[in-house]
Amino acid sequence: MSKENNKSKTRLSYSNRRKLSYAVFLVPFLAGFFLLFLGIYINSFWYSLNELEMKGIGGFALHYVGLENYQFAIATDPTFVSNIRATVGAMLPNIIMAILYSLMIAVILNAKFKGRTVFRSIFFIPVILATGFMARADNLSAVFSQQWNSMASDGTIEAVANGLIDTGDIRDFFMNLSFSPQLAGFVIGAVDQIFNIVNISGVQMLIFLAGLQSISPSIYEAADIDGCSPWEKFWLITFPMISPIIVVNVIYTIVDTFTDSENIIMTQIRQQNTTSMGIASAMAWFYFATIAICIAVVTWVISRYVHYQQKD
Amino acid sequence: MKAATATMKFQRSRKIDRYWIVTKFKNFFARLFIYALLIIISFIIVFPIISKLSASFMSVDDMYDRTVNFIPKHPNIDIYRTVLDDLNFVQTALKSFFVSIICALPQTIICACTGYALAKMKSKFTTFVMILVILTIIVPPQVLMVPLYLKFRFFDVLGIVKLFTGSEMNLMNSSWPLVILSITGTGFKNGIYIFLMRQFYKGVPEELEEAAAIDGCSVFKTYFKIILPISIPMMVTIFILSFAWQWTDTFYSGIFFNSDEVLSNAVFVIRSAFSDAPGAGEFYKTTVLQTGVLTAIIPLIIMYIFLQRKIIAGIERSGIVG
Repeated sequence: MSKENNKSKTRLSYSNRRKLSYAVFLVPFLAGFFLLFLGIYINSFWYSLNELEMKGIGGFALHYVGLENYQFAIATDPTFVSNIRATVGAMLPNIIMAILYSLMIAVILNAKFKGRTVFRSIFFIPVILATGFMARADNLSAVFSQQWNSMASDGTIEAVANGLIDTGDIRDFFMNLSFSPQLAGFVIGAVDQIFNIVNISGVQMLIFLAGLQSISPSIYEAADIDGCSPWEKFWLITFPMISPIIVVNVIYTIVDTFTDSENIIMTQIRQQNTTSMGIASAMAWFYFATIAICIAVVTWVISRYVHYQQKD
Repeated sequence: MKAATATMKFQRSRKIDRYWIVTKFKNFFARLFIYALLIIISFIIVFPIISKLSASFMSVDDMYDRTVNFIPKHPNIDIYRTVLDDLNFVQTALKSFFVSIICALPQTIICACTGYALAKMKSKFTTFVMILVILTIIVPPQVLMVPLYLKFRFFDVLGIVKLFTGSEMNLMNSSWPLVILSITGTGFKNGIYIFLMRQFYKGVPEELEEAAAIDGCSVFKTYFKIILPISIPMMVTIFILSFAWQWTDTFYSGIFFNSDEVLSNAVFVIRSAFSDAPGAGEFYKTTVLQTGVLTAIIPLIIMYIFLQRKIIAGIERSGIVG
């Protein structure tokens, strides 16, 4: 009797054993987080509570100042908080447009039609450009162009047609095409907007596509037999089944628009870093907290409509 | 009586006929609309690339000729020759390929496993890990540049390395930093991959695991025999993203490698674009640079064309989900 009791104490229960097996899957990530990144995060957070004093080459001293850096960032700096407000405000339409667009394109590209592979490959291009690979080349070209222009204005080199470089810019194309300046302005504005949305939603489209592929065709077959219209099929099957993936894409879009290195606040933090690392760290942490709150609010709102195939 | 039913039947069939024409008509317009939409957006995406492509085939004369617009008068591949030569293309591309593979493969597998545990383990602990994952998503790698450099320049895990070799390891100019980041699921955008896999596995019905558990499968066996095959479309997507981003990455490879070692960095220090040789004007330099970028992204697009079939191939297997 007592022997059996001992046995049940030393042995894990079935469900605990399974939990332990699941925990093994988490080991790599946890190891990476705690051994590589936790120290970096703590350091950076500690900097935000201190003032850094540079001492010669590579050396620095820390003076603990408490929340003073945060106070400076939030209360004293005139632009920081208003910039954050502007970014958050600009984010919402961006998210909605990006999600709607990428879901629509993914649904279209998921259907069978002629030339699907070609279109899929074309819509994959924004994913490649998401790292800013081509933008960097364009920036460098602009530098060349400036050098050239300054040389040309010096009269050292004869100025030549400035057409080729700007052909990369789609706006010029429409400038040449359209008939009235108003129409041109409208088309350019629309194209700019579309261009922007297309460029920020390539990844989301790809993720949606994989999500759509994971929905069982048998559900659609059943719906066909019941006489569902495509519209009903979308709202009653595709949408609920894809809803967990929508959460991923919303978070991706939020983080992507917030932490884009061209973003005003990221630029401001980078500039601040050259003058005061303490304040820059404080700004960064305050900004990350804002992103976290945005994510928490948005996912809380969305997750009430998310459908997981799970027993409660 | 009989005649009446016959007429009714006839009328009904005509009704169906008309309805059939209406749907056909609607379908035609829906198709037209979809094609128009796809073509317009494709045009917006492809246009900058087409213009770069056309410039890359131009001769120097064409570049300075005002009448040349898109279609070069004297097409040649001189610029490609220069670029491939300057880049040392085959060697650099192979190195890029190697680096991308050793990043993408472990990232795909580790992120899938982590996501699976986060989706299926019923414990408070997962909420805590989830918060850590979200933290890694939020903090962009750009702000970690200096600490990451220091971490891998003087690499040490809990003082163990120092204990044995007497000093920290220098992992710069090797693939080890990227490998370490990848096998721990903390590389570029890995947080979002983990989150994606978690959401995907949350959508997998629990009956699958229950049935396997009743048959005596362990968690690992269930995962690798049953769950992994149905998650192929998602994993291929993650593999594609991870590969493409490593291939075009300038941030991590900028820290860990010499500037001309991998393709993504080599194109930005390409010799002909920065030489001050006579005749190397602005257009020429720009075109060389853009052509370098083109040669770097074309292999990726080809890879995608082959891999996207795998996303589709997942259908038959993924039939179980839902």
